[in-house]
Amino acid sequence: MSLLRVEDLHTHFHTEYGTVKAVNGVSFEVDRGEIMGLVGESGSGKSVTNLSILKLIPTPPGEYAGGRILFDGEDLLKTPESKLRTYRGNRIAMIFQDPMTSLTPYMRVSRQLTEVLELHQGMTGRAAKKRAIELLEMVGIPDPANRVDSWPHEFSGGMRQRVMIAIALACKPELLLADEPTTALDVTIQAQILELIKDLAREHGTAVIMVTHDLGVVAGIADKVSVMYGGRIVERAPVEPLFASPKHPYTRGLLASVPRLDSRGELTPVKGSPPDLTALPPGCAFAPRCPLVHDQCAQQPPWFGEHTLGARCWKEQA
Amino acid sequence: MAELVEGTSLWQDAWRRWRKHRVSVASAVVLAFVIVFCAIGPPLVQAIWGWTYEMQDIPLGAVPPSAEHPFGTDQLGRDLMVRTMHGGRVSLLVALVATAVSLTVGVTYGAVSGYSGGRVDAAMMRFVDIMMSTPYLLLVIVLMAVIPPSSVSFAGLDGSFVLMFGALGLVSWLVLARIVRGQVLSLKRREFVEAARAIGVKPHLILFRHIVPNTLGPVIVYASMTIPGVMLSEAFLSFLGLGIREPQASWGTLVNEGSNAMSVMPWLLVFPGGLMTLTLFCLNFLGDGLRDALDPSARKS
Amino acid sequence: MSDPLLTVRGLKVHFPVYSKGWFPRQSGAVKAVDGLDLTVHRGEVLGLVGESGCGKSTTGRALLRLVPLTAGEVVFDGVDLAKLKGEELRRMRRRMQMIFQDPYASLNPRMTVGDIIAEPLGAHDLVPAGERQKKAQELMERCGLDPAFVRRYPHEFSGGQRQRIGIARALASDPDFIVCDEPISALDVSIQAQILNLLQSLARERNLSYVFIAHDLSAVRHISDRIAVMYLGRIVETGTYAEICDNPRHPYTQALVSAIPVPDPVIERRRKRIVLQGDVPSPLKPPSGCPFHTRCPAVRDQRCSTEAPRLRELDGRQVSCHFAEDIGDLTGRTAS
Ligand SMILES: Nc1ncnc2c1ncn2[C@@H]1O[C@H](COP(=O)(O)OP(=O)(O)OP(=O)(O)O)[C@@H](O)[C@H]1O
Ligand SMILES: Nc1ncnc2c1ncn2[C@@H]1O[C@H](COP(=O)(O)OP(=O)(O)OP(=O)(O)O)[C@@H](O)[C@H]1O
Ligand code: SF4
Ligand SMILES: [Mg+2]
Ligand SMILES: [Mg+2]
Repeated sequence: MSLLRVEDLHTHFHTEYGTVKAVNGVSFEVDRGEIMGLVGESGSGKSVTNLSILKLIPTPPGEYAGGRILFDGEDLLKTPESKLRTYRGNRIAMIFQDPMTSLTPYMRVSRQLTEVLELHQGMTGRAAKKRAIELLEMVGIPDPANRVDSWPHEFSGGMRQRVMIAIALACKPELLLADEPTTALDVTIQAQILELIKDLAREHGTAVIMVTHDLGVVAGIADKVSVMYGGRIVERAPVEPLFASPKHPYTRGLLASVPRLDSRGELTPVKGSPPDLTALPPGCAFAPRCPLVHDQCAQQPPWFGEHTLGARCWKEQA
Repeated sequence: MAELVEGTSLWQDAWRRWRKHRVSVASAVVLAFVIVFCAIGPPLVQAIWGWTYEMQDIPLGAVPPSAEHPFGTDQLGRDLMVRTMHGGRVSLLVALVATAVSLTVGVTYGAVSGYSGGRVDAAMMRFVDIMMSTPYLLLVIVLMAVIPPSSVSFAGLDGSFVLMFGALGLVSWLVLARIVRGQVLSLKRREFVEAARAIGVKPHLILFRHIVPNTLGPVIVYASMTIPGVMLSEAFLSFLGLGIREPQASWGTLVNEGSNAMSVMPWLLVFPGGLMTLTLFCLNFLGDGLRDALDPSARKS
Repeated sequence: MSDPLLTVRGLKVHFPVYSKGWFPRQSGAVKAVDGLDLTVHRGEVLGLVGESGCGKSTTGRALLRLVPLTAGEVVFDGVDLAKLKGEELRRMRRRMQMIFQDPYASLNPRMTVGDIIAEPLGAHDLVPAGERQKKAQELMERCGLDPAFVRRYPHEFSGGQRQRIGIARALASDPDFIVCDEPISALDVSIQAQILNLLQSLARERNLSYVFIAHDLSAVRHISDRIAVMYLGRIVETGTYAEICDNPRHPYTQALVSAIPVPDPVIERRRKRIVLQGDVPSPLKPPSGCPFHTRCPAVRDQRCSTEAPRLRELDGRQVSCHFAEDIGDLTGRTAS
């Protein structure tokens, strides 16, 4: 049994423009020590999926409209808030995109680290401080013993992101939700952070969901990939087959539209613009932009069927 | 190719959007009525009933509203309607002068200071700081001591009256200059301003086409917020004997007198106070409407 | 790739830092660009890459003289821009334009799209007032926008569409040279390719020269003829796209290239990374000697920390490293 199993998750937002079906029937599994890449264009529902797992969606306007999130066999959507709180930052940790705003500016770095240790591990005083220094060392902050008492603004963006990761790692989480942890950083810093996350999965057996829109990052770090489009997962596959022979026309379009460092072929962008989540078509959400579209696509949404892998596309199943 | 269209200026577009803002348009209409009422009221009243704002009828004393005196009279038997109209002239003029000064002087001063930056900006802002930290009353008293009121009376206006306008005008633009400067400082660094420079737009057009229009939202809101304050300052100065003097009146002085006799002669407060409140209300809605009209991204209601 | 259109020599842009107080005094300077040499040929796309804060945008702005130059010369078609003033400079702007990173911030929210695109036409009196909107519509069409939207405001468009508006504006005055400052990094992946293709076809069709600034070396490789790599306000290596991406010589370029992920898991698995330690030093107090010596995996002796290497020719490219000849391929040795 997988550590995390999301089944047919629906998360909606009720806004004045209508109901935004941000997550519209998402299912996947992640096992211990496994890194799953979650890719898709902006607005496809990656962050909402991640936030839903920790039940961090503000309700209202949000609503968990259906599905199950089984974490170690327990449905998180039914777990009481008080118990969830003991999971957050402890058994399940999260890293956000923006390293500039996710640290409290008026608290020393040391305090932000020891706070988590105190809360979830009951560590205090010198022991907590010692562990904080160890954690900073682990994430590659030079001279951690002297820098642990710095203020966040004294650190660069990359260093702050590493502090965030140190906080996330403080309690050796079983599941790490990383939401574009490197998007705001330089590539040379990104390389450091990706190494760190990889080590975490290998050495501590942490399961990782890595949200990103950079296919290169996914290729380098993930064991398997889920591609999201319009609030649904349209393709699931282990990383190698996904890149070698993508099945869904959207995945293919995505791969053909990114420039690569190792070649200079033509780019064929996906035509058109992303779907309006308040008025999704009854059939396949990708139909209006799909080069392979045929009659059936616009009428009925395609299914994965009984398979856990594959593409959600009529053409693929026909 | 689609049909051809003319370019539109911000103002034409704003006018189009403003007309859709019903509350704001209604407020403008009401304001227009109030202004006309105060402006052409006194000669009409004099023609119909023969009252002027200073005519006393001490034996009559204070009477409640009647057909003769639609707003009633005060303790000296003066017709309150004419006095309210007259007071409205003073108060609206005060509001107009203060707004005009703060909009022209304040916006220009702030925009130039912010756009120039560096030492010019530092010097210009220090001056504003000094003006702001000088007690306002002191300023007026010094002004009155240095300039004899009689020497500045013009166009039939009392000298102390002109001085009061001067004093209100002198301070009313300070805050706005600061607000605008702050806005300009941040707008100056915005990319679209840099884009305008890169295109080769002339500097004065950059300031007045790209920067100033983007400060208008807060400017209008602030301007409509200062008007009540200015009217009250005028009443306060007059109360101290530094502004307008009896038998002259303003809404501020009338409300002040009325509130002293509120329990016995409520009409003395209700009419001038009511008109003043109505005016301030309308100004507020008008300001809101203008702000929205000048902001193309404001949500359409 | 004929004669140079733009030649930059010894360019320095320092931003003064002031102390706080009533009458502030200069207390130091951010050396955003500190001795930079660069050449752009006619019809050439020059990619400019480097880490955040290394001075790419400042360089781009300095090429158009949008920031005051501290030292050096910027010769555009035989004219030294550093010597131009006021109206002369403004006239020159017709021939050089800029496309900005942030498609939200670079368009005036209170002007219609038509007025935004037509503004250069008015600023340089290129088209009579009555015909400017029509010209704007033609440009919109060329840039893939529906000309019927000419009277809409920027906030009514998506990010990709706004970037097209910015491109149409830059094209309006029919320039020879455009600085593209990270024109795609704020856009969604699927939109990036659309904009990249548009920029590329425009360059071919109008024989434009670009300086294409980006931190994404993959996109730069895709569009550029030559690439210049920047570190802390200086160029550390320039060469053709193939020389830079396939066979980098400077240790920093090697680290940069090795850190860029490739969307192919098989290749990714085989690749060796040079993981640099530490962060980019502050341009307020750049390191002595070679600016890269604090992080350089090939740093050798005292020379690196005392003497600044010059940008010099090496096998047809330019490198600024004392030991460029013999450091070889670093990925083999210092892979982590
Ligand atoms: N609090 C909210 N209220 C209303 N709509 C929301 C809210 N949060 C998210 N959404 C909508 O849900 C959709 C999915 O958003 P989400 O943040 O998951 O996208 P994403 O895939 O993470 O995109 P990005 O790559 O830009 O981060 C979007 O259309 C967004 O507008
Ligand atoms: N107007 C300014 N005043 C003071 N310092 C500035 C100014 N503009 C830029 N700088 C500083 O100059 C340095 C170089 O900035 P620049 O914006 O050129 O970097 P960049 O390479 O474009 O970075 P990014 O990739 O983040 O856009 C930075 O340290 C920045 O803080
Ligand atoms: S000069 Fe020295 S420090 Fe600089 S890049 Fe070359 S080897 Fe590294
Ligand atoms: Mg997101
Ligand atoms: Mg930049």
